[in-house]
Formats: sequence, C-alpha cells, structure tokens
Amino acid sequence: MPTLTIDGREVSVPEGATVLEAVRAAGIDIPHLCKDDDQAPIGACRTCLVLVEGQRGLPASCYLPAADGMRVSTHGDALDRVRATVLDLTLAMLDPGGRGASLLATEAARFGASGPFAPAPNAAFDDSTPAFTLNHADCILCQRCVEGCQDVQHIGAIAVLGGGEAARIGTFLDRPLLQSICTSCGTCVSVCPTGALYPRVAGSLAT
Amino acid sequence: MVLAERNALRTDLGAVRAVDTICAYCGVGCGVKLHIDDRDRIVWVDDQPANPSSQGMLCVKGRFGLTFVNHEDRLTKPLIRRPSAGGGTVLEEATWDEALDYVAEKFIEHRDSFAVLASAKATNEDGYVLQKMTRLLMGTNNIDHCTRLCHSPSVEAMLRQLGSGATSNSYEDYDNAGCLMVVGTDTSSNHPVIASRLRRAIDERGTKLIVVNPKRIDLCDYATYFLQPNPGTDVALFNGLAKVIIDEGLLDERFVRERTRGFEEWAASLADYTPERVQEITGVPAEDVRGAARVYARPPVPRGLEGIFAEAAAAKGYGGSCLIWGMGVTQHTCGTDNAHALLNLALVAGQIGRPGNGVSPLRGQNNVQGCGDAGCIPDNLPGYQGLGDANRAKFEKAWGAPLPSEPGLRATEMFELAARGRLDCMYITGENPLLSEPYIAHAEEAIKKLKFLVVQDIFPNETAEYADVILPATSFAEKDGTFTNSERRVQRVRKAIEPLGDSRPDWEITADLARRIARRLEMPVAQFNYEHPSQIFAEMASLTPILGGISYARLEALQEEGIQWPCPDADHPGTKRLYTETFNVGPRAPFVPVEQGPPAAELPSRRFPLLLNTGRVLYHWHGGTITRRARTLLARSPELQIAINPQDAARYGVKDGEDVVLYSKRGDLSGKALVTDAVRPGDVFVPFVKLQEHNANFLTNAVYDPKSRIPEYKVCAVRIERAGAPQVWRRGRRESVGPGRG
Repeated sequence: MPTLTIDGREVSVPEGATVLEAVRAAGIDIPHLCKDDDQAPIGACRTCLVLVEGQRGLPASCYLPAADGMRVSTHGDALDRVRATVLDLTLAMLDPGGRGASLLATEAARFGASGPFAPAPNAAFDDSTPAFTLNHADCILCQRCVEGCQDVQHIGAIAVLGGGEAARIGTFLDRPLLQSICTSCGTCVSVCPTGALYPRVAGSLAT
Repeated sequence: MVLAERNALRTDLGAVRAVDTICAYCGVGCGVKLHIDDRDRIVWVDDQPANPSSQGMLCVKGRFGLTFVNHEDRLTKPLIRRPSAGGGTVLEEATWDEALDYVAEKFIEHRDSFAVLASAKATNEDGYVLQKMTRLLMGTNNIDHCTRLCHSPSVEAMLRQLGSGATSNSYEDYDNAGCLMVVGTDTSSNHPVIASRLRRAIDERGTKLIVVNPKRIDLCDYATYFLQPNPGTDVALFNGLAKVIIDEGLLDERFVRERTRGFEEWAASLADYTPERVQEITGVPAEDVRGAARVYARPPVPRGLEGIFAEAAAAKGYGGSCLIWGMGVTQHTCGTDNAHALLNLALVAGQIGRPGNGVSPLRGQNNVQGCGDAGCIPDNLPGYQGLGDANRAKFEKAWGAPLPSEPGLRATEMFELAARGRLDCMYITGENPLLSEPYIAHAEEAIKKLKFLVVQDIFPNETAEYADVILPATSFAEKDGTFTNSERRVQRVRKAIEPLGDSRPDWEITADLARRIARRLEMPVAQFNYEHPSQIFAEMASLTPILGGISYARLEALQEEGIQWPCPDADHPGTKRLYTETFNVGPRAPFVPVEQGPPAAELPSRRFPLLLNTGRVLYHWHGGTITRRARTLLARSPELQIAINPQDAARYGVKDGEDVVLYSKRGDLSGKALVTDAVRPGDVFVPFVKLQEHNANFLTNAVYDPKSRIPEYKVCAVRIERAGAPQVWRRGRRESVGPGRG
C-alpha cells in the first residue's frame, strides 16, 4: 500500500489508486468535475490539478497513479491561480443565468474563480425525448455523459462532436436524441455535474 | 463540488431523503436509490453501483418508470360490489373489516372450489403467506403464478434434466464467457441491463454473440451469427447444432462420459438433423448452423480473464458459453421440447457448471423466481419441496394442521375449469389475466362465470372489473421484504414511503384475511400473527433448505450484496453457480431426445396469410398496467406498432406509419404500421402491451403445450388491412372457434 504525503498529511491508499483518490482519502476537497467515483478517469476538465514535488507542471490528479513517498500539494500560489483560471474558463462555457452556472459558481468561487462571464451564443436545446432535456448552454464538455453512455451502458448514443469552440455533445449525424439509438436510460442525466442533462419535471414526477 | 459526487441526494429536484431498494420491473433485480420529496413522492431514481447484479446500470423503466407508485389511479380503499339503485351493481368503498370479513365468509363458502393466482411482482414474504393460507386454511394446492405463462416449459424441462428450474450461472459468467448464445429473447427490451452486460463483454472481452430469433433484435448489431429460423422450428435448429457438435468431434467427451446419461440413444435420434435438412426446415443456412455450433462448443478464450474464469478456460483450452433464452423458446405448443433441445446442446458441449458458462432462462418479473421459491406453485411446497409425506409432515408440524397432498390446478387450467363452470372462486393478487391470458375474449367468459372473485392490486385493471371485492395493496416502494432475481440473488426491498391511502402490503392483507378465516374454521389463528416481513422470512428459511442460511440480519449486514441461494446455513456464502459437481437429479443429467413436430397449432391460411409473433418493447412492461401510468414511458411509446416486412407491406398496400388493423380468427386490433426488415417476410410482430385499448392477446391462440400448459403466444395466423379499407373477408363466426386443443 503506497503511502503519500498530501498537504503535509500522510495517507495510505490501496495499490493502483490515483492521487485524486489519495487526496480525497485525506479529506481534502478539490474540484474534479469530470471524474465519476465509479468510472475510469477522463481527464477532460483539468480542475483536479495538483503539484507533486520533483515533477514538472501541474498534473491532473485523477490520472496520476499514487506512488509510495510521493509528496503532493493541493494548494500553492501558482497552482491556485491555474486552477482558478481553469474554473473561470469552465464557467465561461456556461450561460450565466443557467442551471450549470448556478450549480457551479458558488463552489468554484471557493477556489478563486470569479465567473461566469459572457452568455453562450445560440446554444442548442434538445427536448426531443420525454425523459430529459439536453441544454448545451449548461454543458462544460466534461464527457461524463459520454462515458456513462458507452462505458456503463455500452450503448454509445452520444459523443463529442466537432472541435474547438464548435465542440458539443451530440448523436450520430447530430440528430435529436429521440432519433438516435438513445434509449433514455438516463445514465447521462445521473452523472451530469452541471444539470445540462436534466430530468423533465413532468417525467420525473408522477402527478 | 456537490454534483460531482456520485449518487448525491437530488435536492435540486426536491428530494429530502433517499432509500436503497430493488427495481420492481424485470427479473434482473437492479439496485435503485429512490429519491423522495417531502410529500412522499419519488422525484428521481438513481442507480446503485454497489449492487452486484446491476453494477450501476439502469434502464429507462427503472430510471423513469417507477413513478407509477404515486399515480392518482392507485387503489386506496377496499371496494365491495353491491347492487345499485339502477338495477346493476356498483363498487362501493368499504372498511378493511367489512371487506375482509366478507371475503373470509365467501372463501369459506367456496372452500371446495377455490384457486389463487399469486403475484410475481410481490415479495417472497407476500407469496409465502399467500400459499400458506391457501394450503393450510383453504385445504388446496390450487395456487400458481405467471411463470405458467412464461417459463413453465423451461422449468419442466430443467426439472427433468437438471433438477431445478433456476438459472445455473451468475451474471458474472456472462461477463467472462467466450460465447453468448441468446435465443428467443429481445434482451435489450426485456432485460436491458443484462443486454448492457452482454454488450460490455463483447466490447471489452471480444466475446462472440450468437442471436437466434425470427425477428432481428438490437443485439444483432453485435452478433457473430444471427440465426433467423422459421417460427416454431427451434427443435430442428438445436438438434442440428448438436449434431454438428457430435459429428465434428466438438463435444466435451469427458463431461458426456462422467456427467450425463442416455447419450447414445439421444445421439442416434439426431441422425436426420443434418445442417442441410435443418436449413430446409428452419430456413437457416447450413453453413451458419455449422459455424454457430463450432463457436458455441469451442468459443475463444475471451481477453482479460482472471481468477477462476482464467483457470476454467486454461483447463479446457477454450472459453465458456452461456445459453440464454426467453419466451421465444417457451411460448409454443412445443415449448417444453424446445427447452429440452437447448439443454441437450448445453450438456453435449459441457457448457454448464463451470465458471463462464451455464444455462439461463431469463426470468421476466422482478420476483418470478422468488414467487416459485416461496411455494406459489401447485405441485411443490416452498423451496421446490415435493408434496410427498415427509415434506408435508415437516410443514404440518410447523403449521399445526394437515396439508393437501394432491397437486393443485395450474394457472391455465384454472381458467379452463372456470370457463366450464367448474371453478367458483378465485383470489387474484397482482395479476391481470384479462390482459395476459391468450384469446382474451375466452378468458373473459371464464372470469365472468366465477361466483366470487377477489382482486388484490395497486391499480384498477381489466380483471378487477369483474371483481366482487377489490383489496388495495401497496407497491414495492411502500413495503419491506425481499425479491429474488434471475441469478437467484435474494435482495432486500426497503420501505421508502408510507402506504398510499388505506392500502396495505400484500402479506399484511393476506395474513389479516387468513386470521379471519382461521377463526371461523377454528384453525390455528396464531399461524398468521406476523408483525414484520422479517418474521415471515425467518419462518420460510427455517422450512426451506435452499434459503436456510439467509436472514434479514445477514442481508442488512451485507448491504446491497444480497445472497444467492442455495444457502443452506448461516456460514454459507451463497452459491454463484449450480451443478459444479453434480445435478439435482443425481450425478448424471439425462439427454432427452426430442423431434421437430408441426411448427405451431395454427399456421397461415388463405384467409390469414401472415404469422403473428408477439413480444415486448423497451418502454412498456407486459400488459402495460403499470407503464401506461408512468408518463415518460407512455410518452416514449404511446401507440401499438405493428411491424411488417417491406415486401408484405407492398403486397397488402400498407405504408409506414399508417393506421392498420390485424385480424385473427379470434379478434382484431388496431395500431400503426412499422415497415421494417427486422421482421421476416410473412411475419408480423406486435408487442403484447395494451395501448389505446388494443392488445395482442385479442388475437393470440389459446392452445397449450401439453407438458407445461403454456399458451402458444408466439404463433398465430393473422391478416393485415389498412384501417377503414373495405373488408375483404367477413369476420369468422365466434362459435366456430373452440378454445383449442389441450
């Protein structure tokens, strides 16, 4: 069992654990927007950055294997600044008046982020299925929904389409969800950290 | 980060607490976390990653369909039918005392002509109390449940060849198999989470998939072989696969020598089933018969095997094969023969009793396994203990009165007798035969002839319209208990909300009723003094060796793990796979020779040129009594779709999306045409859910497999016409149509 030092605290984790797991085992709260507790890391959100003594740069702790004797910091001038910037960039993807912003802004502020900033231009909204809606204005492209659809359910109805600023979650040929192979199992809804995928109230309540 | 945490309480949806329990739809037995608001409503359903049967997966019905619990149609008061001022009758609200006293008196009056339908949606405890009342107080074994309509042929065949009707393996064997042969089941619709596991094995392990189905199902996209036999020709197909395995020397010689009997005689019976002849009968190309047989008998070792699975594959030099089947095998007049043919195949290939292989009749209802385990079958006491003297003596000693020794009526026999006026009184719990029986018009006649009918359910349904008394039960979310899933895992069902209105859990209603009957008959009243389901389970476990080591205390300590029976004592960890050393019929399982007979009782004719196949859609559950009351599901699938091949659509002038009518000798139904090459030319497919007042069982044929008494839901002859088109044929006269051969 590797033993690490996290912010001066010693913590032991099982063989094969990641640094993020060690950080959380030490009771330290850092953002990890795209990491699902039960799934493999995606490494998309870059909010779980840490500083490791003797290593260059600021690795994403979700992807970093925990090694014996590792000395990890979750705070520091440069680290806090970079993380706040990453969170600011993340918040900048969100509609300031939307569900995602309201869910993330307060938490992000704890880590020095000051967004949200500009409204997202013309983000699409998919309400084709009766089970849930997909509001791209609340999406941070963390890809947990894609992982849930493929790695949990092995359906693979959604993926990240396009690149750069045009990147978005969508189906094959970018059709509405109802016209795709999506079965409305709702795994994507349960893992979405920003409420971009959200149950329809009329559907989630019986009366 | 609040929402970055998995399974966080959905306060944003109004949830104030969350309760872990088990999904109430299919037999997979997924763990669910019900998020409840301050008005006791389910506002969100999360998956439960700690549950080993579902591993965090969930389907649309479990996620969005459990809201039926709070639906305004729920029965909340006992109802008694009384004469109305206008001359007819009317159902009036009553107190529990009034209703149960009335039922007790009537049941006693009809004690010699009484039968019970138990519910495979209710808990083990509900079922146990119900069969105890039936046997101990009503003095009859006339109790059965819906397994008669789904897997009774599998159970019949498995009891004869293996000694138990249960799935031999665990779901984890699917994860670690080299080949999955999926027969007569649209797994993605009926057991979606098992389908996810199958896809995962194929994606991650390189597992081979063989699909056998007359209809192209979604899983076919993943299949190495897709065998599309003519309906009703499964015996020929499976005999053919077995013959290839023997002829090409792919049989497991050691397994056949040491663990089976009757091989020579059976092998000789296969002489005529050459791949070429099988092609003639089934329409499956001979090369595919050969190819599928080779993959099933000698599957590749899947990637990334570990532990016992790696050892098992290393010992053999090839992977394991899991044989998985559903109603496509069983709902035929030759259903039991079909199941024998499947089991013969598993035995000759030695694909049973080792890690990574097995035979799985996928169980439909959430607790159809448990309902049988609890004794709600006419020929066995709880735990499949026969009605012989020794077993009866054990139960008589515990229950304090003599028990009936004659096997009781099977569900389908109950309706036949009722139709002939030879059954007077029924207690139907959580079942709706007027949607689920074949040839509904006939079943309706039977129900009408009953002198006294009690329906105990959560929603008013078609059968309840003929009830003399309706007793409001609670849903799964309002009670404690256990469900047993398709891999024999006993799982804890936990009360999440208070019962709606005056509704009560089934076990509580039945026990209260039983006390009233016992008092009147001067029988042991104290036998029904239960205060909590844990007491019922403890009693059942004490009398049922396969459950002997399971208790609520153990289940609570194990949290979401559950325990797989057989679990004979408190130190036993439970059993992942059966038949590793021996069979319940003895050390050697017999081969049972079966011959291909006529494919179905009713075949296409000039008047009814198409074959109707029935099945399911993902968004509905069985007859739809529940799913029609889950808004999301109904919105996703609001109308019946009648699937027809493009060739036939062209021949009969039917366009995609058009309103059409299907006719059989027995009735008609309307729906929307779905023109698709997923069905073969000559076939039409309709799910048996009732939508917009139309249901496939208006058309299906009430003919039965002589061995198991299952109806032939899967094949009957029909004609399709555009709605409003002038009638080409006049409808057949009703009186010319009998209830079918026996």
